[in-house]
Amino acid sequence: MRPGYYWKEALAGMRRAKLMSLLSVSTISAALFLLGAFLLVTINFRSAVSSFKDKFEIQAFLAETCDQHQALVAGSYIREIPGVADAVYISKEEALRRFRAELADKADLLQALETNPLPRSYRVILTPDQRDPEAMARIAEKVQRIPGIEDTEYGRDWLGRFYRLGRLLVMLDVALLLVVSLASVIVIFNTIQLTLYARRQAIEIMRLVGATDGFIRRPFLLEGMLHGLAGTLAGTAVLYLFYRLLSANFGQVTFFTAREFAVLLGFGVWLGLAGSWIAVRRFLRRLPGGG
Amino acid sequence: MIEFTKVSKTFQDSWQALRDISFTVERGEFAFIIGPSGCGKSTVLRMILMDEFPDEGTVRVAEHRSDNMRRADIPRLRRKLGVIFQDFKLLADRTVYENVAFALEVTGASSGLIHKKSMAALNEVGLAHKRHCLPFQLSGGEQQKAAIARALVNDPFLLLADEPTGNVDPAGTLEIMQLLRDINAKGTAVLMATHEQELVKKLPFRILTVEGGRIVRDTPCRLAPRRAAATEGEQLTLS
Ligand SMILES: Nc1ncnc2c1ncn2[C@@H]1O[C@H](COP(=O)(O)OP(=O)(O)O)[C@@H](O)[C@H]1O
Ligand SMILES: [Mg+2]
Repeated sequence: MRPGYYWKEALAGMRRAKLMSLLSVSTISAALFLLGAFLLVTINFRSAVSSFKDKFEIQAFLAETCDQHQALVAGSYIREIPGVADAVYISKEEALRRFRAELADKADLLQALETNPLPRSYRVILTPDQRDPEAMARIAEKVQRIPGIEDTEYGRDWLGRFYRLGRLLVMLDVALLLVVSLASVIVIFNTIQLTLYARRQAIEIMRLVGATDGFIRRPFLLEGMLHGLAGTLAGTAVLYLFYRLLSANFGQVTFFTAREFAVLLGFGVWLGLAGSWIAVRRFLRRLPGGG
Repeated sequence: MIEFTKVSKTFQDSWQALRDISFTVERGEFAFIIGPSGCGKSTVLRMILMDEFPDEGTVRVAEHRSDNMRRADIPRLRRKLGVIFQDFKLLADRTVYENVAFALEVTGASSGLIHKKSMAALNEVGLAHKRHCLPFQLSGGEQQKAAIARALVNDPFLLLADEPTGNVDPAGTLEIMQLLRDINAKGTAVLMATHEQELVKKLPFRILTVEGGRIVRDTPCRLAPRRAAATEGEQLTLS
């Protein structure tokens, strides 16, 4: 209807309650800084884990006693297991070569060996949907039961730990999201309520001269949304400084993508809207004739 | 135009503010509601504004009825009514002009129209020269005139006045009453609540006397309809 009017009123509201607005904006920025920091940890953690994805494979060691034919049959059995993408045969020589490559600087240690102690094995590659600890354990057990397979190995310990940590992080994020939302909504609610009280005479007059509730509400909702926006911008700005410091020292840390940043901003604005919405609704209901 | 039919109203404390009130006010009429403080005058006016609703009976204002009024329709009704109060209800941080324009701003009118109508309303009450003053710089009478300008800016068919002279000195009171008569003479109905019996008796208009929430007397206008309309511009004396 008259956007100019809404902006004028919203900004006037913030000027009128400077201290309270500042408090509200800084609370939101602190809250969103905290939330943003945890989200960044989660994002970075997940990208690290997904870079391990190609390590989601099982080593199936062949028994010394089984002959070449048995070994081939074992390989075809492995490939038939659901969830297995491929099984790559690793000969004793190949195994030794790889081992040497990994321990390049200690190669002389191996020179001492007269015979090759490393067993033949299959590198079992899982389909992408099976790359989690539970699926690995299940498949490894099936592989283990195939004749000629002596032992299987996969990173059960560290992978499991990573997964638990990942899940814990997500739970923390959710908990933090709730706390941050609640705190932000409460502080915006309080601020907007103060503005409403300061403007109660104007609101009363607006009603008398036939302003709709929507018209009365809009400047206050805008004010709340501006608090949310300003708070989120300030919070993420500080977070970005921290990120620059960290990435300068540790490298390989990612910040929010433009899209993630937009979502975070939208969330901050939405918190502002929610807090002011509740305040205005409650205020208008309590006025005489508020229904 | 206004029709109260067997209206009763009881507030929470079981005190019956209005008891079985029925009356009508016609288009273009001037009527007083008089009675001692607390007799229910303001409640009647607030029911016309649909700010308060009857417990029993119905209030009809133009095409709006209290028994099927939707909340969303209330602003539409109020834009067709003007209202002034004893305490003026002007915004202290806005100039006279801004206070008047405010009533149009909230309806979403264009700024050109707002300016035109606000100036016309200020001229009508004779306050255009003080349009840049803040309310505290005005006398009580002038503040009430500013409030009247605000009430007129939407071209209401009815002006509600709740003790409009309560905070105005005698000279100002005279001017306000003259203004209300002029406004009425141009076709706007005026319904004025007051407890100042002396003021009312000197004017020829219809008087609804309220006591204890009932209408105890309805004294008709002492002027012929033509004569009432001809009072415009005539000097009012209250001596
Ligand atoms: N919102 C309300 N809650 C409770 N009692 C009210 C309310 N409004 C008015 N009253 C009561 O109703 C009666 C009539 O009030 P009112 O219409 O304001 O009288 P008047 O304007 O004639 O002085 C008074 O006793 C007043 O205390
Ligand atoms: Mg009263």
